[in-house]
Amino acid sequence: MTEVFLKALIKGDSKVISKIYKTTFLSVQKFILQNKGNEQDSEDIFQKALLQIVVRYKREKFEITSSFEAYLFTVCKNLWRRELNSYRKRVTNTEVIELKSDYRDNSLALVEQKRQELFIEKLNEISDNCRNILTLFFAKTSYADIVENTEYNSESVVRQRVFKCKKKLTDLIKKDVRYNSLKEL
Amino acid sequence: MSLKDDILIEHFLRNRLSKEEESQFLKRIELDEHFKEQFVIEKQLFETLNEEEWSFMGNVNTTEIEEYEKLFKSEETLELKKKLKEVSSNYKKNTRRKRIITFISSAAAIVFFVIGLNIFFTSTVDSKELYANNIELEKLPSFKNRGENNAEIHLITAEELFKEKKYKKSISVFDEFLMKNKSNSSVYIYKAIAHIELNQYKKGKNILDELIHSDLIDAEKGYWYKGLLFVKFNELENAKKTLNIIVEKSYFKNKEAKSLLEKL
Repeated sequence: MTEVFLKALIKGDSKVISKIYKTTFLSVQKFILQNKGNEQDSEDIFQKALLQIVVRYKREKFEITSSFEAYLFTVCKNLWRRELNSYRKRVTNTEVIELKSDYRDNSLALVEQKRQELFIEKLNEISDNCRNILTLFFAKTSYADIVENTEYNSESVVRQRVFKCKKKLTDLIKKDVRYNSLKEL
Repeated sequence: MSLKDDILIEHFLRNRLSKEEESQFLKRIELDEHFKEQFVIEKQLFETLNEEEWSFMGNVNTTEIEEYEKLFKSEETLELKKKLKEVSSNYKKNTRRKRIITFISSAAAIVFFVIGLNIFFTSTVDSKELYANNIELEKLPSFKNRGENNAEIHLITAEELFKEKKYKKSISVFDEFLMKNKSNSSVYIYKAIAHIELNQYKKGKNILDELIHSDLIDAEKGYWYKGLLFVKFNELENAKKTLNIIVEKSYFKNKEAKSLLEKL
């Protein structure tokens, strides 16, 4: 079904595009409205996401392992996360923002999406225990709170565990050839 | 990479270094290629795996990016962009029309809309979203039809606190109730969900285990919420094991468990 959606989308098949709007747009809009966005933002993000998927498929015929709707929702969510963070950076001026064309910016967003997929894929390859502790760690949970909410007895044990789990994760990522084009050194 | 360096990178990323330490850190990044490589991947992980942030690429020139840029600029893509705008505008018109109809035939339409939303929400793959789409807080049994004695009136208060997302306060009331009375499975479930919502994995799991091992008629409900706890905290293997028990033994929410298993 995903393949059918992708091919029809590339051809600009209005019926299929309408179907995609009917099945997924409302949930994307709800997410964006609940996260500081407005209706126009949700329309822009939805269209950007569809274009991103089409451009990527044209270049590399990638495989979508979930349903098309679920994947589209994730891409929209990530593009909105990106937009909010980009706005935050512009306002706080924490980093020098270079002016880029929309085409360039959309291309960078696509590569960032691929990097996120790779990281999540690798996170799912490590043990449940490691994934659980790293999920808490990256969500900025303090070591004290991690101790309170897991089976570990002290902060130093948690620190050691986080260190080992992070090493496993980074080793897996570095070993993957796809990381070479995504690491941006 | 030593633990000491790892902690140093973490402190830098969490803005915990003094100005002097920070400038030493930046100097080291310039000079030590291996340290820099480790820093870059850690920064990307910090920004990617934290839902509130995003890991941006620098404005680098790679063949891959140039190829994407060409495709974004191509006539075909620009045509598709126009088409998407057209469909979006038609969709908006239709939705407006539908809204009016929906308003007129409100009762039936609202039921349909809620069912529709549930379908949209259960189609996502992110584990936190899967949890959020299945927890169905609004369908939890209410204590409001009870309230015959003081203790049960307290439960109504706890339920209200829970609905206002004042989970910590609701937990204290549920704890007080459970010290005297362990016969109501809903109290266990409310307390467990409150812990899960507060990201208190261990406490949530403990109270659900207590429910599962109790001799209450609804003890089996504990499996469903334990499955969701595992989903939320990304323990997918444990989640699958727990959900399989529900399906095999036809426990509470066995159809939902089957459908959730397909998405994991």
